[in-house]
Amino acid sequence: MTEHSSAMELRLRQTLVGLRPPDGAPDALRARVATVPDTAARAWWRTPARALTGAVALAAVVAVVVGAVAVQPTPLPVTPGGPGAAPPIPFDPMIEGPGILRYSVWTLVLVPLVVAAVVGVLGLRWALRRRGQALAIRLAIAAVVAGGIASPALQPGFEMGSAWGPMLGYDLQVEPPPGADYPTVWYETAEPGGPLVLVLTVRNPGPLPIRLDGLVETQTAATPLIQRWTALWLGTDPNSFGNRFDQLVSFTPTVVEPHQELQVYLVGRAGLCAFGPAYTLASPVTGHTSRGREIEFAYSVLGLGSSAPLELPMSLVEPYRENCPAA
Amino acid sequence: MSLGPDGSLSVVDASGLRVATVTEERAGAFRALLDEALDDAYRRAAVMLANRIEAEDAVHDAAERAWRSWGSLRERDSFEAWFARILLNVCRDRLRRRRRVAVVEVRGEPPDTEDAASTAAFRGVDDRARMLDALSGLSPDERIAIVLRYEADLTVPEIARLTGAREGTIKARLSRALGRLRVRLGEEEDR
Repeated sequence: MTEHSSAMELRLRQTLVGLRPPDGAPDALRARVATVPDTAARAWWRTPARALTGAVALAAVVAVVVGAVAVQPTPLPVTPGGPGAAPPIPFDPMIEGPGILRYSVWTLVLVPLVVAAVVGVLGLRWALRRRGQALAIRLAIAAVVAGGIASPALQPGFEMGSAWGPMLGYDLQVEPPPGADYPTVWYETAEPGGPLVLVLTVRNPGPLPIRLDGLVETQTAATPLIQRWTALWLGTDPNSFGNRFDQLVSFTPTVVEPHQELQVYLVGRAGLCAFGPAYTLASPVTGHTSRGREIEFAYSVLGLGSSAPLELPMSLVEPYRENCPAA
Repeated sequence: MSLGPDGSLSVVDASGLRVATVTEERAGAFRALLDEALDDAYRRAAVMLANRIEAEDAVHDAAERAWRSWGSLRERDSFEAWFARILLNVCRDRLRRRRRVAVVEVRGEPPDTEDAASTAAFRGVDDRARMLDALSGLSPDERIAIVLRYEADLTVPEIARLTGAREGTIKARLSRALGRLRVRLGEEEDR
């Protein structure tokens, strides 16, 4: 070790020793630490609870921001007109966009559950602040409050209503034989790429009002070989089922009260290889396609969005022709 | 009910599992041991942190941590070393937090006086300030090693045992820390 560093070490030692308090621990510190077994015993849960609260609060903020801002539902372009456009455009099954969403928002699930988790943790902290007989009551109150906040997340989406029927492009319907466990089959008879229209009612099972925000459809015009939904329309005469086409208006989000039904007109387009109006059960076809019986409706409860599948009471089947040039 | 090795009273259920402990007994034993170790702990924290107010907070934090893990202490005789390790960890955490906060250096000018005693006194204070400034540039682990070596006069194996690091690591930390101090103080003196 060099002389320089030895001198430095000496200075270092002197400096460090100079930092040492000449007396022992102050009385105030002695009194403070004497209370540690009492205070720390009550606070043993505080640190992890704080960390959990912080994490959950952060998750809540992220969920709200993501839910409310980043994934706002984006309707497809509406041509022409749309919400707020006046006068209402006449029904045209070739108009694409009204009522169609690419994806749904899940804030209805995220926000109440995350907020309930935050409130639950805070409630737990509050309940544990005093032990003894009151603990069970406090825990019960905290659980009820958190459960109440989370309850909107349990609101179910729309269910199938009491009526449905074909309106355009489903001219061949085949009933199942008695005792069969499969539903009626509606065959598409629209021109290839032509319009399809059916009407059905959706029902709000309650207990809260639900706003129908649209139909979630992932297929776009970029995949014209596949049947897809292109628009929702609403009837203007609630007293008759199956309004005339000139009674329909383009879709706008509509609130459905608990246990009430709403008539919805689903408009779509057949795939480009669809067999067409001449189809019969004896027609020479290459095969049949079906997108399944589920469609997905987006909805809102208390301003928070979600979506749920709805099972159609019929199978929609598209027969496709041999040697389709579009394929 | 049974009497534990630390003098605590335990309630034991039918299967032999301890389901409750009389905390007053435990608290009394904890307080007594902590009281004995408090002076050394406070002094060490004061040197480690170079701040007596913060040292009090650090000792209090360490006492809380120690109480929360009181059940993990097997033998009373090892309390002092056990508590010293906890205190070291608390000090390390505080030093780490402190490194994230910008420190503004404030340095006085030598007194404008012919009085040799005043000038010498100022130099002494200034030397100490420069050394403290240089120490503040060390990493928390390096600072801990330096304090344990030069203030507490512990050997490298003792420091290794206390910090839970290997002897080679401690030697490397000390060497690196001294090198940094040398450079920093050398640079200061060259100005």
